[in-house]
Amino acid sequence: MKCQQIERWLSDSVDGPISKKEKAIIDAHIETCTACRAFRNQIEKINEEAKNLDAPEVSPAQSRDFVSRLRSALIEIGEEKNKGVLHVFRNKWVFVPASVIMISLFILIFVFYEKGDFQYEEFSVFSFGNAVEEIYQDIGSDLVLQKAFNSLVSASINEMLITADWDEMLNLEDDLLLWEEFSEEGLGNLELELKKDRNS
Amino acid sequence: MEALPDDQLVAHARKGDVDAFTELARRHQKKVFQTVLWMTKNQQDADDLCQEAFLHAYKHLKNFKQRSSFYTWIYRIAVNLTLNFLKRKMREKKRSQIPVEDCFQGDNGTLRKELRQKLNQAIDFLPDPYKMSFVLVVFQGMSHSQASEVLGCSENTVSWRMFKARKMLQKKLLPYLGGT
Repeated sequence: MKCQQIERWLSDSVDGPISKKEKAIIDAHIETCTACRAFRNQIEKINEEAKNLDAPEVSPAQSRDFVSRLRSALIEIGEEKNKGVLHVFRNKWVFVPASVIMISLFILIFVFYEKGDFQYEEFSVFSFGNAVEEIYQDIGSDLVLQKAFNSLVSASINEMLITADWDEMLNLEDDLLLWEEFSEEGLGNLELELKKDRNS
Repeated sequence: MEALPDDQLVAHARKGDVDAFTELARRHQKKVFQTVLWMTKNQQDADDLCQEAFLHAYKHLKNFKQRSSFYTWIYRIAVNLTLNFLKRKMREKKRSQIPVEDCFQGDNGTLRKELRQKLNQAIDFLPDPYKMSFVLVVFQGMSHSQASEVLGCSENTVSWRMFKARKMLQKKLLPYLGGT
């Protein structure tokens, strides 16, 4: 058995009981190994002296002061919690009337929607939506209008290319919604117009 | 409140009962404070860290699953905060070199006094994880299993750290320990 393993078990034996098997091996080993025997005596002495070291003093007054300061801080935390607007939602019973209101609201919307009093658009948030696509549909097969509109869009993009900085452009490229409005055909037309502008 | 066991106090504190949590703090702050003071060797730092540990525990009581005792849990919070604090201090290279003797008192026997002073210094110079294991096991009388719960590591790691810590102490204190 290597001395390092014996030393490890000796260290364990100082802190608590070890198995009978380990103890038997240690006893047999230190009979003949003076180094391990010395190690055992030394670590036992270290442990004994360490346990006799005076523990850092915490006086009753210090303890009381600690607890009192902690208590003040806890009360402050409680007050902070109650200050927030959302603190009412910490009470689980608030969810009962809130749920009733929400359900009633959904029922109202459903009833009016069925009657046709509500239009979907009234709920929609402003966005480009399908604006460009709809313009293309309105233009239909009128080539003059198509050309005029494409020129407008390409002129706007060219202007943006000149004035915008690259960081902004990168953000626009990342914004898929911007390009989702264009159909394949629309994008094709746009590409043609851009090419023409570049050449001229 | 004083008659209630820890788990019931935890249940009350979870509902926002400040008195219940204050009672928990009153019960455990001394031992936690001593451990942190062993590590920091600075009363003010130890006080701040203990306050922080108990406040953190109060704010995160909902996360305490009670798989261990409150005592182990608060110890673990304090130990983590202390180890992080010491790491930060080391990084900032502003670790205050408060003489070890300031915090402790030796006895009158000159040789023994010298050994104790050297032992104090040697413990102070142990790397933090080894020192923390040593403080928990030797000074606070924890078993390897309890210390492993507090430190969030395996029992084997605690055993290994204790062995290495003792080897380091033995090496430093050899002239005072005698050969056999």
